[in-house]
Amino acid sequence: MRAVQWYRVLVVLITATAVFLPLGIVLYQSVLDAPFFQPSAKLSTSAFRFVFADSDFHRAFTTTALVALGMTLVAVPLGSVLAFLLVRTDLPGRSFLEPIVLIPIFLSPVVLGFGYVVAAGPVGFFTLWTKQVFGSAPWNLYSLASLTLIAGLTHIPYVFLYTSSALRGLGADLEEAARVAGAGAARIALSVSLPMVRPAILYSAVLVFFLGFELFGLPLILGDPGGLLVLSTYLYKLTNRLGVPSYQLMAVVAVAIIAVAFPLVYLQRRLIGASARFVTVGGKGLSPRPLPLGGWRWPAVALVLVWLGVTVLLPLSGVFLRAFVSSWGEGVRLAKVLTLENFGELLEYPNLVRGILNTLGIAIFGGALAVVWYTLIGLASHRWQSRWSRALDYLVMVPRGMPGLVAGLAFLWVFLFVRPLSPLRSTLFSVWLAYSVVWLAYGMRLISSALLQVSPDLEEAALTIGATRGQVTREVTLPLIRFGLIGSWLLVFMIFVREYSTGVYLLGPGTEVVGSLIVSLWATGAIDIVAALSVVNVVLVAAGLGVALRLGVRLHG
Amino acid sequence: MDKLIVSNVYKRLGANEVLKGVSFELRRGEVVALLGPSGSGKTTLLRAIAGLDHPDTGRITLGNQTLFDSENGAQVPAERRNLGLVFQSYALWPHRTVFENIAYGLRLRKVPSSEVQKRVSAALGHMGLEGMAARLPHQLSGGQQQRVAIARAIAYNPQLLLLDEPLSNLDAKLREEARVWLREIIEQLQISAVCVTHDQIEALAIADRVLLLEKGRIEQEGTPQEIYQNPRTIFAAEFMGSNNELTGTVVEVKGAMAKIAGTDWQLCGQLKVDRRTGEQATAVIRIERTQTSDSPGENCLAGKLDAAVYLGERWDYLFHAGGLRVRVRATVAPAQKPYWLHFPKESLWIF
Repeated sequence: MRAVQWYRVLVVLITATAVFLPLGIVLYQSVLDAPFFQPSAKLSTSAFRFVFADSDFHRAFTTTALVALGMTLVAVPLGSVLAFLLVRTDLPGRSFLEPIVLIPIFLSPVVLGFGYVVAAGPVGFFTLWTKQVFGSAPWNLYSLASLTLIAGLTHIPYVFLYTSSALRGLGADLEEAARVAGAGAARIALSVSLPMVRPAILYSAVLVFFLGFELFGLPLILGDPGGLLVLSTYLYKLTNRLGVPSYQLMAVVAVAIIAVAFPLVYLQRRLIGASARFVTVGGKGLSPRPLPLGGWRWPAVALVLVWLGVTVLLPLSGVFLRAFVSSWGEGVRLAKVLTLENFGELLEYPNLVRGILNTLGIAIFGGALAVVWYTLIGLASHRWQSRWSRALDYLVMVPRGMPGLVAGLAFLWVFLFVRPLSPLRSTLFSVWLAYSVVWLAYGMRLISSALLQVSPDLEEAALTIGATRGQVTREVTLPLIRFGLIGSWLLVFMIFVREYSTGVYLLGPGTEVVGSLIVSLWATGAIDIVAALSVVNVVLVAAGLGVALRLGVRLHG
Repeated sequence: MDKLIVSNVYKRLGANEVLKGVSFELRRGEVVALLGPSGSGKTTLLRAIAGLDHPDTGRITLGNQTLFDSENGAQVPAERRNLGLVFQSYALWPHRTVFENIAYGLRLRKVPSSEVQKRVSAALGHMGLEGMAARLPHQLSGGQQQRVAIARAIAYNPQLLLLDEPLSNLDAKLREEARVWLREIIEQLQISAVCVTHDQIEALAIADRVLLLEKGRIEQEGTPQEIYQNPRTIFAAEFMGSNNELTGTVVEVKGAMAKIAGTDWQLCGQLKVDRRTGEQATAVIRIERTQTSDSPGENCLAGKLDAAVYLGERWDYLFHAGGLRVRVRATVAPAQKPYWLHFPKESLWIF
């Protein structure tokens, strides 16, 4: 028993260090008047005064709020309707569509953003083709409205996830009662099903709004040409603003982002409990009788397909087309410029090859290691009623308040600041640690949902027969959650392949990953290479997705 | 096994006192049933004996081994108590075969594998599970799963078998057979056991002694016959069997007997608790003790038949007698005739 307690407390302490050290450094740096490594740095509020006086910061903040609000207004209604259609009705092909609907979650936003530029930008494939046919293309990709709409459409899957799982928990009898009373499918959705899952919809609204504050890839690529800055891109541009490293200013922006994110994370935590409670109120008998859509069947399918076309097919086809042409622009004929050279070029740069190998390594082995860490934390708080385990519960939520870009910056400083760690800065370990902490809350949700499936009886049965706590864990608990762990590994694999913002500040010789390479190469205008790397990124994610679907892994925790 | 002594076990969960000082003893070869409604603390008590829950105060000893003692902080962890526990859910490990489920306790005790083979086969034989060794739990019926759970709990000859609502997951018909089978196997293997149940019939059928629990206290303790035929409190009387209840006022007390009366009736019965003339009281009689007769007599009330329900082997008649509603068991179809309800005074208990 003693050893078990020590193990648990140790896990709490290590996790707390990994979470609070970067956060602490950001806070500390924000109240200095110079980078923390300069001996002359003194406590001061000058950085706050500077940033808060900057009109660009104000504009970035307003733009962020507008985008976040706008994308919530787009994603929530469409996502809820999508969930109702796929879960509750006889929509043709719904079992086939379900996993496809989640794809945007696993696609890197930089890749998507890039895809939109090459597909529908001023000289994008579809823009030029449209011009050829109709004489003009009536859209401007680089406007605030386009950015908001695209962000909203790509975040529909998050709303779908939470709303659909709540809908699944509703007793079919509640809807059947409405049907017997004479209501049609649309009426039932609006008056029974969706109101019943209101807490889940509210939760997903807060989640999407929160994700809006974290946006980085889309505004970086779509906002820049139109001069649109959001908080994260403002932070990113700040890096070289004053010529000298302006760490204190970056820290202030990071603190501002964290200050908005934290209350939203806390709100989400409060709401998730409420949404779970609501679902159990449902009726009896979960007979999955779908509601007939009647004449609306085909318009409904068309709606889903149009959304998938705009959010997945359009950007991805752009990425793939661009990766296989040598150049593109007005008056260029597709058949004449087809080539494989872009991929050949990838192999000529050692840092790009390293980036691809690093991405594979960090996703496969790093992902496995992260799952091991998450499992150790999960096991530590498993069946542990104490103040420590409740603290651990909140602890794993903390990194959610730090967007990847901010966390990457914070970890860069950790590796600069903590002397014994600095040799590891230029190794993949730094990237792995940052990734694992950024995705801590996500990973813990996967692990704890696996652990929740294990009935306490099964463990107590082994205890009364004479197994020690350690034996119970090894011989009962772990074997019972092994499929859950493999599933978590696959999901973490995809998330780590997709990740781009966390690696941005840690990027250096030895720590290249595909995601952060795309971000930095985009700035240099190396479109051919960005396209080829994007294809590599999408193919890796697709491979993970394929295996996960093959094994029947649920795509959410 | 030696004697299990539970003394003065107390447990509080938040503001709720789950066990308020429970004591009992279990002798070698005896089967005790902890019977009570949900919330009576019976499962908590069982888990305290198993070592899965820790009481706040009290003492639990098994032979000369102290399993738990709040005085000196002694606490043997569950895994070192060498007890067998059959879970309500059976808790069979879904990732192990029937054989591996049963063998687990033996392997933990480092029994050589040839011996494991022999003992598991013997256990399977006892339980009528021959040929099931290689199956996984989900490939078994509910009744078979329950037998595997019992085999797993007794395979390593634990000092004491604990059963948590062992039959509640079986459907009604199967439960009846399993009751008889369980009693048979316990007698055959001479197991000492504590069985938790909320089902009185289960308790009466399986146990040598019944402990009736209510709100964390032992309400009454005795053989099944004593508990059923001589309840000492109104709770014990009401909890067991099906009853007619008549509330009224005590109008006369004569030694162990008393008269109770309502607005338009008066009956004589056994006084079970201390009551004086003029006090409110409740008279309880088992339905099967209430009789009908064709003519008035002592302790009889005129009854009017409201409904008769046919239940196969018997009829349930529902009468009213003035303001009272009374159920009676009968073996014949109801007839169009005046009925009198007879309440034999030795069977009418006044609380």
